[in-house]
Amino acid sequence: MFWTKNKEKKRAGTTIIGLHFEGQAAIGTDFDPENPDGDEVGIIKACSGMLMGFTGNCECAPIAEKFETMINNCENIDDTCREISTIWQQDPSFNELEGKLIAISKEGSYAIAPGNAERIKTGIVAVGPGEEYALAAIRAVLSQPEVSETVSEIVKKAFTVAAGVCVLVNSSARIITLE
Amino acid sequence: MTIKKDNAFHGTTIIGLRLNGKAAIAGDGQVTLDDMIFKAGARKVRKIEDHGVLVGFAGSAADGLALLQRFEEKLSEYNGNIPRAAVELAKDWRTDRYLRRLEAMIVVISKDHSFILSGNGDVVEPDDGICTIGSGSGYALAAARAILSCKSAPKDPAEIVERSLKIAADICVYTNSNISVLTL
Repeated sequence: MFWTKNKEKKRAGTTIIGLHFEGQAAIGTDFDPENPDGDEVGIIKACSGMLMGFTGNCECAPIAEKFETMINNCENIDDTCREISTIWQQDPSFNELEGKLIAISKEGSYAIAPGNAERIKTGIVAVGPGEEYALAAIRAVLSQPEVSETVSEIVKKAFTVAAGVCVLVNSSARIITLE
Repeated sequence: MTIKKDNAFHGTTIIGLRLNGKAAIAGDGQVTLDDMIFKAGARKVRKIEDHGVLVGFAGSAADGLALLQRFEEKLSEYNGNIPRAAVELAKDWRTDRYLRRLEAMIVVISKDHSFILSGNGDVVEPDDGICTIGSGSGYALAAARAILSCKSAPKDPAEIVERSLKIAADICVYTNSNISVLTL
């Protein structure tokens, strides 16, 4: 992923995997609200025809809410994502917040970091410690000549595989799909 | 060219798989020196015809070949008994003072056994018959497990290793998609 600039900086945290494929979309996280791990949170939500996911520290919750409102009220998702990344980078009150935001609609997947918003052409967005393994797993499933799995099954499978390879990933994931 | 202390050729992905009584191994073709692609069409997988074994190596090329040679000697000594040869090779590290730490790993795979041997004397037999080594090993492992867990998983291990390595090549910069596959 474009934001993993430095491998040393990789730390424990929640993993979020999102996928949109053939008009279906799903997002999942291994964050368990009942049993939080440190001060990391992973929020996944369905809002007005979109799925959004946010991973970061607890203090990020307000920013996630602000972005949720922006996504809820958006007319053009491309512009909104760009606007969010600009606000995140420029607003001094958001400076200290480290986190990543994912937005998935039936048309596309977006990954947003401070000053950077990108439409992911493949439709696969994974953030957090097990991101590369989840990405490899999803690409592997989608490389079949005929894909018989639903998107939520694929995301579930990605978590199982990522949890099997990376110790920082929890295999019991919550997954929501876009109806 | 400046010679740095740690300028061994490195960065490779090798994946071996046993499935349905068949075995396959695949390796990429990239040889990397620091941040330079030195060669793109290397062959890092071999077949030892005498004993029906496929091998692949990653890490420093000279060390990989040294490790392979030692393993072949053991294999001949123990009449092609792979687990025995692997364990005897590991024992040498404990007893032989001349063996230094070889900066390489090899995958050894036959129809019945699969092992990963490291240049420090470690021997690992993976649970699920998927052996991956090198810089892109995690991605290839994740891809192979994902393919195997699908309902319509291919029956042929050669197809699975090739597809997994292709995915690893797309993610890992030290791995290219010039793939060579060997089967048993």
